[in-house]
Amino acid sequence: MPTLVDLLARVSFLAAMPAVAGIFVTASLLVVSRDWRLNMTALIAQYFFVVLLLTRLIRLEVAAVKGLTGWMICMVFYLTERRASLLEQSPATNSASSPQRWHRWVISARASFCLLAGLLVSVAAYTAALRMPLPEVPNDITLACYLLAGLGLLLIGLSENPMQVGLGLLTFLSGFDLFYVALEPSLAVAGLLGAVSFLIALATAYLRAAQITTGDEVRQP
Amino acid sequence: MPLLPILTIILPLVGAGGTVGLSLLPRVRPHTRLVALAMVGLVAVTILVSRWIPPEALIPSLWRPSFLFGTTLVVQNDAMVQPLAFALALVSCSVILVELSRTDQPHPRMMATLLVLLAAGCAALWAANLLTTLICWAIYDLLLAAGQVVSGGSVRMAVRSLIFGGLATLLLWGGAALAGRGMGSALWSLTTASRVQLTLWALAGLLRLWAYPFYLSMLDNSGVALSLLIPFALGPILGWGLWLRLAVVNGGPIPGGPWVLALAAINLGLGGFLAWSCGSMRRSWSWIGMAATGAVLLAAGVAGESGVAVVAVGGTAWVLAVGVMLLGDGLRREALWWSIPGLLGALALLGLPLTVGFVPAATMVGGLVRGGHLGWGGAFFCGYMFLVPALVRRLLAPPALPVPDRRWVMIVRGIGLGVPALLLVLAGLYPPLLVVGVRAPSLGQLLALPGWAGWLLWAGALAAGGALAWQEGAIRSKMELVLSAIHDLLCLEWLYRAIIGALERGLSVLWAAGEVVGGRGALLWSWLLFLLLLLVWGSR
Amino acid sequence: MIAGPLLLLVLPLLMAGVIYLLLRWTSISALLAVGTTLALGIAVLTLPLDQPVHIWGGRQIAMGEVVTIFGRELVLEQSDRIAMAFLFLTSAGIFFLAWRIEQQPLILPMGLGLLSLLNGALLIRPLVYAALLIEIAAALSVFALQAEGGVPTRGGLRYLSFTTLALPGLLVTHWLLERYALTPNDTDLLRVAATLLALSFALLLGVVPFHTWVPAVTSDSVPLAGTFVLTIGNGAVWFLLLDFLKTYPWLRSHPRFESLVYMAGIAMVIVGGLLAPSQRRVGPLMGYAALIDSGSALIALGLNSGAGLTLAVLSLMVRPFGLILMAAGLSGLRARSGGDDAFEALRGLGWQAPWSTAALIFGGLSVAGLPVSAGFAWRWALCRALASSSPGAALWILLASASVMAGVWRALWALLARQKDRSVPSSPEGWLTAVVIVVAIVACVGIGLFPQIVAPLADRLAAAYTFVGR
Repeated sequence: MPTLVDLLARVSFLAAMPAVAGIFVTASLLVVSRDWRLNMTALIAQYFFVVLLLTRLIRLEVAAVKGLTGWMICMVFYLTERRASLLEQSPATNSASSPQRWHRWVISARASFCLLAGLLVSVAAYTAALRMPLPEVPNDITLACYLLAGLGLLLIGLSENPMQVGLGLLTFLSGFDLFYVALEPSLAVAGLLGAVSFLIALATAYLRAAQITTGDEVRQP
Repeated sequence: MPLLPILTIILPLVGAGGTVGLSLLPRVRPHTRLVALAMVGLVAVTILVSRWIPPEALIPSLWRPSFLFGTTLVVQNDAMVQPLAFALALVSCSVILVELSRTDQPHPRMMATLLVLLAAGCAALWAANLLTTLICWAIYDLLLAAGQVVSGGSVRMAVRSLIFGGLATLLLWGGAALAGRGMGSALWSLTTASRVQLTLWALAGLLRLWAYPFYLSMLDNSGVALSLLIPFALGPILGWGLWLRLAVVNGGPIPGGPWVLALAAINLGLGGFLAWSCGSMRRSWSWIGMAATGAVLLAAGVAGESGVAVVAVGGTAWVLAVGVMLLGDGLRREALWWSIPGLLGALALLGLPLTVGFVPAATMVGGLVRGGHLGWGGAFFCGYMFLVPALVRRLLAPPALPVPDRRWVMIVRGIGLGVPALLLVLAGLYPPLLVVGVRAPSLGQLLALPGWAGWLLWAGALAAGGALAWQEGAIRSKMELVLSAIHDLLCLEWLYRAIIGALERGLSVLWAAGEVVGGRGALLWSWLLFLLLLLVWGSR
Repeated sequence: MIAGPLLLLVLPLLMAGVIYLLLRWTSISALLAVGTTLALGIAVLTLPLDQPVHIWGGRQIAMGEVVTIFGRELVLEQSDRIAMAFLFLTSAGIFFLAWRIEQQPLILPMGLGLLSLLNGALLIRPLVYAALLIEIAAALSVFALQAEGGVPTRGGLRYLSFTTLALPGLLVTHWLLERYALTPNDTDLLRVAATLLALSFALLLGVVPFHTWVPAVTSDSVPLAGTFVLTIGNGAVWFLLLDFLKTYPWLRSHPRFESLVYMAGIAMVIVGGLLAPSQRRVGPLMGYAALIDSGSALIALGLNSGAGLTLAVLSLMVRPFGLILMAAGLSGLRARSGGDDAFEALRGLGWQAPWSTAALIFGGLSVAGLPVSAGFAWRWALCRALASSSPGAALWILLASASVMAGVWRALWALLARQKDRSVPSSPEGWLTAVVIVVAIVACVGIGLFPQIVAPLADRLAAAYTFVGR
């Protein structure tokens, strides 16, 4: 059975602009979307593309471990949101169903604003990648780093919902990690950064659980 | 170890602890007032003895390292403030004695509050440098507010006293900050100050004196039934202590210049009118005290180089006279002699001869006439014209308590009321009796000070006041509504409410701005502001 | 032989686990937490660095022994001792109050865990790893900040966000400085490193405009946990900053260092001073008061002198007295108002919770820097230091103090309002709570009257950072 490392090696041809494009799409989706299923899918894909790019900078095994950390984080988020959606579907809660809320969100002015803001940040990231290339990393990875950092920052700033903020922080950290592994390939730092990401996920999941418990969700889009 | 300053602070604190502790034992509880009385009496005697002992400095806490703080806490039984401290202790003693004679209820918490207030007051008066003054003021303010709340007084007044006390503290501190490197490091007796510093300190002094228009922390006293609450009304003693220091720092005259004198004149004039037009007799004493404050300040202002002596005597007279008046209980037709102390207090507040109040009053009248200050003279005339009927109204009020019938009660009350009243007269006959270290004029010099014009002015004001008192009933019944309206207008409550309302609206704008920047999207706002700052910095 | 750094890291972690298991017995948990932190605080101050000390059973503790973990060294230096003692003893104070104020206080185990991480941040070399440990501590502190059964704390999220944003700057700086060591002609590296460091510490310290996390932390989080973040977490960041300044002297000698730090401090004081009196709740008021205090400490650092550094360290040492008292008061009042700390919701509560009210007032006095409190001593010294060089800054600081007190007096006005319909309290403050609060107030006032208890310690600690002249 092929190992994760083997699988990554097979798709390593994508570890260039296709991965950057994938990062752009997934990060933009995280900015615009408010549906947890879509967000989880986007995050999983985002980590996949980040791992692909990491394979160009560090050893495949280390990149795979980082990917595993990311997917474990996605699992944490998935379990939390799944529990939340089960509680929302209970008769005790009067809130609208998830598809209805998603439909309302998509056509709302806020979604348009998020999309436009995301596009603006992407353009800014592209310009920054051209004007201020990061040391020790190729141009496409520079673009990916700026995209992740910028869209992550946007995601943190646009919402006070714990999950959205958590996604934003993780996106931001992914972008930074992509750059920093080229500067500091130390395993200790990699481990600590992974621990940081995991703890951020746990903290936001904890806050999300508190949000569900108190029924505070309706107040925070 | 310098004993005197520490004794005057420690003894009341020990007394307070003992009073509260002993009150927990039912058998001893009724006698806790005696413990309090003994301690206060000891303090008064200690302060009296300090007249003949050279000043001793005590350092209760050595603030180290010195390169950081520049100074340390120092208290010193300064001869200059000794009369004020003695007056405070004496009035406190009288309060306990009169309370002993009025009721069998021990009120241990109130006694303890009185004692700690005395300790804090003494500490604030003995504070030898600015740092110690700041700290002692803060302690006094907290105790005053706590005491008012605990005694069931007005919470509004308690919080106001904290606010204005805090403002005074900040003004004092702010003035010190202008001194540069040597901020607050010198003793008061060695301090030199610039004009701006003295102005800020003078403002602090006015706040402490509860002078118009900063009188909002003045005790309401409308609900006072207990004489034990009288020390709360003596808060301006800290102000008198500061003015004494400021006069010394300024080389004799009080600082501030014409605006201080103008404010003093306003206090005198308006204080008198407000005292007369006040509907509540209990509240009127506050305005009477304000008018007396204005008179003493005005006297000190026109006294020039003798400002120190005038403040020392005038401030002490204020404390004694206000205390005696508050302790008094109106007119008893069946036992007129019980009204004599109150009468002496009133005469001292009016500054009539043979009372200690004559020292500042004569100086004031003489100074006004010699300087040709028509405006201030007019304020003096108005103030006295209204002050006389206000005092008469208070003196002739029906008594609230019955005449004491037991001999020991009569003796105790007699001592309590009589000793401060006697001091008012003795010091009036021989002013240097009260003050030490400053040259106080003799009675003969004081009689000659006003001159013929001054005596005429004074007599005219008193006569007008007497006429007003005589026709009080008729005038008041016809003009009650108008008087009440003018009284409310001059009280400035409407102005303060408007200012607070305007401040609230302004603060609401700031609050809204804070909520926008700190609410949702705070992170994006932060980065936006940061980029704006970068742009501004980069463009320079 | 037990290495000192390991003891200081591992013991709090172990005790955190034990205390978490015993959490339902609050008194035992608190006793263990207070005992642990007190013992470690005293040990780190008193045990010698240069020789091992015998304890029971033939075991020895060598405080000065260097420990290597994953190739990174943990070193206890002279400057770290007082810093760590400050962290431990402040924690002891917080845990002591949490014992009576909080029910099932999660701050006890979480605080010990956070202490372990923050101590690691002070001990680890090179400094860059300290940033990662501080970030981990920030993530963990969210658990302590979140009130059980309460709405998600905005403060916790925001604190985590800002700390995460600060992380890249600190990590990249390390690489830039290593590069500079190889190519000393490339001064651009230093310029970029200085910029990134300034940005990172601005985020961590809450410099305007990155200050919004500070009032958010005190606004809706568990008050004592918020105080833990603002005193111990913030203190660790300050000591990290001082370590950077000591390790890289070119930072302090940068021509813009003084003006930048000074302006940052002034901005915090002004913004805090403007926003504090406009607050309608006690929580954010406390946050803005802490912001002003932090800004004043930066102004002291901007003096770029031995006295200024001593003042900055002194501010760190006295800040906990005020914030802990305010937090204790806020906790007690919130417990009686259903979690709402708006002035309107607190009307008349002062009569039911007098000790919490007293704690709030004295804490407010201290954080505002007014007499008679611990905070006054350090503000007096700061104003004195500024009086000759920057009287304007001294004036701003005094105005900011007045604005904080304006907010506190508004709260007091509401608390002491006499309400006719307020019924008898269902859970009056017990005598033990009163004793604990009185002890804390006495400590605060005591330091205010006798600052020579802590000021020489601050001077000693400042002397250990040799990057300024004395």
